[in-house]
Amino acid sequence: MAGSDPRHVFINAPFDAAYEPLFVTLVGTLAFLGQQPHCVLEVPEKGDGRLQRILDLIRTCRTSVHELSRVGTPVRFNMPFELGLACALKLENPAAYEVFVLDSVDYRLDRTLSDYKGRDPLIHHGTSNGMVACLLDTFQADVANAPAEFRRAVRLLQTSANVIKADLKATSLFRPSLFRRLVATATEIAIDRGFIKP
Amino acid sequence: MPALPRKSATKSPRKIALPKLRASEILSGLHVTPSERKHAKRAVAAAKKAGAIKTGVPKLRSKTSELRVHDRRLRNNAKAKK
Repeated sequence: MAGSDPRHVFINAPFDAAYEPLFVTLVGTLAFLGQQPHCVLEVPEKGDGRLQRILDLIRTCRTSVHELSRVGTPVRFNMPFELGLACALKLENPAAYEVFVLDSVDYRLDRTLSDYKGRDPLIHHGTSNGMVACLLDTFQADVANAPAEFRRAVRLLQTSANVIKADLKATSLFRPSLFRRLVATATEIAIDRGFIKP
Repeated sequence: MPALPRKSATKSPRKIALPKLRASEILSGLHVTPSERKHAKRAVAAAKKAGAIKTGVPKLRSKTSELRVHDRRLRNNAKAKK
């Protein structure tokens, strides 16, 4: 099994309509930072269960970002489950993996996941600007005035994502082909604004 | 005596510095097809256009303010003639 790639980031997020703007921001900001976002949408269902392939995908990504803000009903266990997989990999090989947790409410994780106490989650307060701030707190950016530049670029990406959805008459962005298009759109904006090289 | 670390230095959040990829490397890693990339370019162009149209629309003024502007213009023209 190949080791983790330092430029790959695994995104573990809920696939619901309310989370779409934050997902677009998360994927976009990672692309603006020159990172390659990955998520389970890339793992096709072939009838033999996706667990092994999800684990393989997490294993290839040095960094993983886990969204734990969906704590109400309907209960979603996928995100904490995948966080568990990532933590197990990090415990086995601490130098090879970085695990980050996102939430929308301060200090809530102390109650919802007390085993994770001692590590500070990134709090985005459910806003796109908050998400950009969280990622810039975590990753180093070599762009001048990165927060304002990224916020502007994210706004353009949100509009572009709506255009893509309308073009394909899709009701949700959470489809493999749309995820690839979203990353492609984010990289186009990043090249245009000089965040990354073509 | 060795200097103690500054409080702010110990409290600052840890940032990770990761190597940056080129756009072509990001896209090839995700197996983005040329047609998907073309579609993305078109979407960005359409979004830019939509934004430009939105900002290009002049603000609607109330009738009173329109009249005020009209009056000022008349006054200014009269002054200029003098």
